[in-house]
Amino acid sequence: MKNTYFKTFLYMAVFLLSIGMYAQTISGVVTSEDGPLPGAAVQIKGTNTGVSTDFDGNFSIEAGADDTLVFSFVGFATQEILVGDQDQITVTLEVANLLEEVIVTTGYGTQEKRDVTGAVTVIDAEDLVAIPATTFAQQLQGRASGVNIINDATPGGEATVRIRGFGTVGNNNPLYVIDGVPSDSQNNLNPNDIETIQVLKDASAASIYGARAGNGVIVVTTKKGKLGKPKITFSTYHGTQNAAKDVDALNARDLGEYLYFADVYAGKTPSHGQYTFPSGPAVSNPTIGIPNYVFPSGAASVNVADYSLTPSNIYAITESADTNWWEEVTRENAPIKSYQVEASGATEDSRYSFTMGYFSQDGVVNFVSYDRMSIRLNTSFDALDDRLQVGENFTVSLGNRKGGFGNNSEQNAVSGSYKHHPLLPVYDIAGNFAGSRGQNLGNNYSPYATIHRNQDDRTWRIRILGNAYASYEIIPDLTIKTSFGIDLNTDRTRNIGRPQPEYVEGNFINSSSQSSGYNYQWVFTNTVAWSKTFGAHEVEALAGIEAIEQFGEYFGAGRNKFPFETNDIISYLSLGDATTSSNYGDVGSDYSLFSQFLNANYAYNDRYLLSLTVRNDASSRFKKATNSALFPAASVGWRISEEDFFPQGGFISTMKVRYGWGVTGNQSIGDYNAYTTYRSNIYNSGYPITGSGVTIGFDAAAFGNEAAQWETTTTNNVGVDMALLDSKLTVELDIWDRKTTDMLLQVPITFSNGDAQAPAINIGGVTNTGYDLIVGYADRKGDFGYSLSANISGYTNEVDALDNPDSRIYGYGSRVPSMTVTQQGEEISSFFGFNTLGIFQSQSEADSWAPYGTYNSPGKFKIEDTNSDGQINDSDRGIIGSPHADYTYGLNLNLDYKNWSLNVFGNGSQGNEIFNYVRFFADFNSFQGNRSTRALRDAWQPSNPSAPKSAWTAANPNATSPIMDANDQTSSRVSTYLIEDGSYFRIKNIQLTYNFDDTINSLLGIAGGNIYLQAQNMITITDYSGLNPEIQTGADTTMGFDGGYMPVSKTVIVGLNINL
Amino acid sequence: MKNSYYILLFAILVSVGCADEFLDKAPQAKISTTGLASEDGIAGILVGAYKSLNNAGLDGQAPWENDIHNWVFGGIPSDNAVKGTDAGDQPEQSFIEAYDLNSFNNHIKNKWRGVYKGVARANDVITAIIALQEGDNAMSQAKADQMTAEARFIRGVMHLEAQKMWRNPIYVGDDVYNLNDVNSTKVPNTGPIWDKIEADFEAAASVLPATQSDKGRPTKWAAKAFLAKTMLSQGFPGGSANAGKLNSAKTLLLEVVNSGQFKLMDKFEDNFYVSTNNNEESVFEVQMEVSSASWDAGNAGIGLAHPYISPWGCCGFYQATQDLINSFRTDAATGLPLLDDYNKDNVTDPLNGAVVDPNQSFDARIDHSIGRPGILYKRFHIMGNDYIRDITYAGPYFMQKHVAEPEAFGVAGWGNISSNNYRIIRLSMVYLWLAEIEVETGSLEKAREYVNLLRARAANPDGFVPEAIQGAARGDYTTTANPAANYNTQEYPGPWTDKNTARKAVRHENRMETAGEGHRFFDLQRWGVQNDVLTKYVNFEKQYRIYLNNANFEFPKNEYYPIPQEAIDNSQLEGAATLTQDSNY
Repeated sequence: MKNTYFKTFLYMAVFLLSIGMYAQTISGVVTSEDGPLPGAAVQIKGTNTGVSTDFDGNFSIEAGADDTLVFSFVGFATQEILVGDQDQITVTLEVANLLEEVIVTTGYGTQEKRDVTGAVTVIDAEDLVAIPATTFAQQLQGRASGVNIINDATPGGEATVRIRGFGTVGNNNPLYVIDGVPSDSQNNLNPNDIETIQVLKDASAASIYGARAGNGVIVVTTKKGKLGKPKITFSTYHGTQNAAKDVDALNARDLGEYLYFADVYAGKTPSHGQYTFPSGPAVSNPTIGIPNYVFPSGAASVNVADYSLTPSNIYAITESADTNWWEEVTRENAPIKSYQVEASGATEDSRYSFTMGYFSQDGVVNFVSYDRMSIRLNTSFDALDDRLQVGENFTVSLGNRKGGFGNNSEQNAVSGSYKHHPLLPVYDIAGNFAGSRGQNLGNNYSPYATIHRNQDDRTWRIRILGNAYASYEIIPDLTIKTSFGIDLNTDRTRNIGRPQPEYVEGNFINSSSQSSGYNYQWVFTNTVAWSKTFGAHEVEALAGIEAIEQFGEYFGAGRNKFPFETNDIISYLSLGDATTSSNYGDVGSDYSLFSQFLNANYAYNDRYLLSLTVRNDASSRFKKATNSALFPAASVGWRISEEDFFPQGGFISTMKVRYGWGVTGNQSIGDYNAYTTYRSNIYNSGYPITGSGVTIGFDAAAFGNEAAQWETTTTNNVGVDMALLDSKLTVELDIWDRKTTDMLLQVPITFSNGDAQAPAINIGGVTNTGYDLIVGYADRKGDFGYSLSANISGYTNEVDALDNPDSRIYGYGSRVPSMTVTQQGEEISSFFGFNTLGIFQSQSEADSWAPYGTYNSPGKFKIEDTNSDGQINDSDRGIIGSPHADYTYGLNLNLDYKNWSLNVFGNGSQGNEIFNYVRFFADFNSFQGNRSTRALRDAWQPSNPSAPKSAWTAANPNATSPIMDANDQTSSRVSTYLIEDGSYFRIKNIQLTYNFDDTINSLLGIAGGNIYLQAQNMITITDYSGLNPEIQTGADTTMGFDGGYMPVSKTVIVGLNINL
Repeated sequence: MKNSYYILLFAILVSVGCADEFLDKAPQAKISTTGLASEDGIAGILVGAYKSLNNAGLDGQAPWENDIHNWVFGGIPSDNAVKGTDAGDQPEQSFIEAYDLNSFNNHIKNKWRGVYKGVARANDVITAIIALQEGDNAMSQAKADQMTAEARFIRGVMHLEAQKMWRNPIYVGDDVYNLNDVNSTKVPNTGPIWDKIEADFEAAASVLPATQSDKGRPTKWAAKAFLAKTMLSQGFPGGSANAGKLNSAKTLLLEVVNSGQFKLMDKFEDNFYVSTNNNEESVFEVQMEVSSASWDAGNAGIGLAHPYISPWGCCGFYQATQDLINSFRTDAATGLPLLDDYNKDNVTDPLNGAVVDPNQSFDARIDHSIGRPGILYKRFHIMGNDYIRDITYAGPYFMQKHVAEPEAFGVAGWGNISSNNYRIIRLSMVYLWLAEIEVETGSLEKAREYVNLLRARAANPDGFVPEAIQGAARGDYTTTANPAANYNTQEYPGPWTDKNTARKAVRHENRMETAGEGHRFFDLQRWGVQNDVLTKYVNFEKQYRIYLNNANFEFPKNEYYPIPQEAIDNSQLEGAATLTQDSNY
């Protein structure tokens, strides 16, 4: 009987409910400004009931009059509509407010931006692909506050990425996480495959990556298919590039004048192996005699029959010339192009996306180029009522860097163009490359011959990157996920050495060296995620374990004396002389990491937000006693605008304040830091002890440090996110500090312990403090829409401590002693040298100054006596500049009117300085090659050159370069003269796009498309005299060192996108 | 559903369970310290220590910045050599040449690095032997003693180099050295370290055998010769003789001479060819070896110091001075050197090297030591201005002894690098040292005897450079039966009665015999005559090498080099540097 009552009760209840919540079929369309939105979610609020829109944006759902429908779609603001008495609902979703609705991939899960409490920057994918580039990191430049990107203008070059300053003297590279696979490499990925990039800047956001997140994390997500009909897109662009700045060196006649004055002012009788100079008393406008032939030196006529270029008889007759080497080594209108085909789509239960791309770029320097082919496939499938999902993301790419150009390389085309003698032609009389054989022509390689001979050098790189995963909803709200990812790289380098018989230091021997290597990293991640809403309480939690292993090996070999120099012969070592064989091999990387992590997010009433994270990492790079560490983080947020007291509809639309604290780590040290090891090779320890034949012994290669542990970075971040003026204006401001302690530092070993590599030890610290600000404004007036966004970020950097208060860690030296130093109380890698206060105008001024050996005299630098000891010596060197920018910034303007849109993007850096090493060669009495125009035109000169030096008076008291003096070495010592302001602002991109209208679309039979015209790097505003103010850091103790950087290109591009 | 939990649990357990093994990464492609704890292993470390003798093998340095030939530190600041090449090449060497000695000069830094790396390697051998002998795997004590003695010899050679370079170097012994404690060798530099260098050579001499089958290993005579040189280096404090040190040295040097193992080569030049490596005159040679596959054990330190013409091409460093050219003049009648006024007239034109007076006679050693225009250069070609990179800068002469003969050129990838050993001590030096001692404390006549041994050898006409006639191609020449110049070297007829003249004669003989071998600056230093000689030299030479107007030898400051600032910076221990700069800097 009880059953009957119960049933009756149930029926009654259902009947009553049916009356009160009379369900009806609601249908409608979800659209955006651009048309119907397929795959948008329509859900009855507070339930799990929901549907997706079909291909035409249509939906149909059963709902009652009291129900509220929630319409959502990635990238668009969610809307809620009370059903009421409507049975037809048309909804137009607005593009999301970046501060609120954007989905952020934070570590192992996702969050809406409104709920994020850490410092995370999301980069709009459209902005990213706006600029053709080799790597996604290059495209990030100027887009994200707090992220300093320095590009490399060489084809195939990568970018240096620094997030929020420099936390350590060691490795400052951020961690990249690409579709869940961690990596330290940006290379070989097709930037067009990327859907979103998020930069996790503070520890509260990044600490889920624990031990590797000390320098920040960049999370990259590639494109996935979207619900709807298969969509096929074809994109291409073609462009031409021209060097944005040219080398400014002397011509043949002016170099002669320079050499004349340099001899005169040195007190020498002017003479030269090629030029003829006026004899007698010094004149101010000398007639410079230029010979017909530079080989034989200075000849007026030759016997052409004497020409010979054989090992036993080198007589390369060379006419004199007036060569502008920069013009010779560069090309005009170097092509750049890209093709991409993309197919994607999704059904209710499967998603797929496939892209294939080809990119090729020729350098503005001849014979240098890069190309890349890539294929990507992302798929996922649902089963078991959508509770099971399996999927994969994979990409394969083949990149190929061709030719020889290395920024900073002493003989590269840029520094070669400053240095190579203008009297030399490209070819001698027989059509062979002309060399500097001949007196006083210097020993520079012909820059043209060098790149010509290196044109068949190659670096091929194949990268396979991706993961396969499965997730399963065990019970409602609880999902387990397993993912296995791999990043596999192989590379092969071919380096062909061709004879340089014409070169004065050259030879007739050919050679070939080949190297090859591979490395892989696999990551196995298992997580369990739970989320639940209890009334006003929303809780999400994630726990996981992860194992990572990386290993790599390489080897290389070389031979000389190949019978032929064609690529089919000289590329293969077996054809070289076996007695000249050399080879090597080593381990490139070898480490493992095992981790557990836990993350919990809690929101109360959508306005109080709390996030807690803890990760435990154990790394093979540390001995067992120290190999495990905990990285906790906590952050809170308060969405003030949700509070009742907050005025609705006022000036401020939404506002959230956040505070985060957390700890991250850095383990970027050698793999075997704990071990003292020896090596055995002929260079370090081979000695012919028996008197014939080399015996190879051992010597210590690396000192171990068993006590090393993680470097720890503790971050505090206060942020505010605001949308104002009806959400047209958005502001994100973060103020932060980053304190690195237990810094892993390779403290230079006292030389008396030998020269084995120093181990990383935990010592000292660095503090960075800074701010990141992004301001955006967007509005639309009818057909006219515009948006303007700006970001700016700055930091200060200070080394808190090194191993000892007076310790100095020197940077790179090259032909000059180290010009950077890192020491306590100063910025990492400050410039180090003498401070020049000007130029002595007279002998009496020189005599009254603190003596500097025999140096002080009219026209020479007045060096500051920094320690006031009355003389200039070693101890007067000090910190003379900073490679750190005061701030970096980006500006982005978008205008659109009907089918037209215009984008202008610029970025800049302010307050950083550059050590212009090229001037060491170009401005001073260095080798016998060419000089810069500064060295002649800006040099101090006496108005009475034939008078004794003591009576000299200044002809040009405002001169900025020292007097030309063939005997002067001292002026070239590292001083402020070589340090320049590196500030710049560059209009990086101007792009005008026309989106096809329906008429054109139907005419062409396509679904949509656009065509655009783009101009890059058209304007650079800078006082820097080098070719490119963007100087990468190399090692971080050598920041801002410009040894000849390839200039950026002014590029004009036409592009086409077609959607089918 | 339960199955899923089990799977999850299993996954966690498996992962946790294998973590220890998973995280254990023993070094690959590296040799462990334990792997070398054996007689063979230590023998290999000892070979590594020998490697430091030729001072290549130091990562991050150019080999010439730290070369045992000492052409940079002993040559170009002396009156024998100028840097050469062109004004801008290797400015750090120009600063050394001009006595503008800075503590941040990379050459000086790398010399310190190289010397003390050698010391560290020697100490590594000794401490490894001590550890091995205390364990179960000990080698025979005789073997251990031999290896220890060799290591102490190397340690002595390196410290002697340091003492020549710096007024107050450090001495690092195996008592402080600890491979695994990078602070262990931060010892203060409190003064000269002569006694400790002597102790190392003494200990080595007492154990080392009279002969070695491996030519690179020192004999007891080598150790005694180095010990004697160490004493001789203290033999003239402030320029006046210390009879005690000199007499102790004499005893040792006589033992070397009387061992019967050494004899002068018939021809002077036979000390400077690859084909005559490890000859009977050599007391100790630093071994060099190249093959077509590798020059990593060759004499890379002198790679730059070759003429600027094919086949070498690179790089024109290490030219000879006019002062040195003139010093080889001999009196036409007596065949004796012009001890006082050799610079009165230039025998060749300082600007182009042309012979001024064809009748001028020379000591025959000149053209084996120096390349000068018109004379056959080491059998390659007739030397010409094309040897020189910028004749208006550093003049027309080139150093020669270190350059290998044509047959030995081009074996390695960089053809300049050869197997030409560096004869760091040879019998002729022993005779010269004995002569020095006899002048001060013994018999002038005995001194004359020693000097005449070398003069007699130099006068051997078989060893004269022949006259050569240029052929059609640059490298073609034919030689005649005539000598290349008017060589006239005769023995001092004696008797020597004036000590000052005798001293001058011995020292002048030393200069001619060892010119271009990297000793001159340090010989002037140990004789206490740097200030006098170098000031005079600069005043003379700067007439022709204008840039030397900037050179100013400051005494006593420039007697020694400054301690590299980086060495001082890196010697921090508990907040203070253990090294202090030479107070003259």
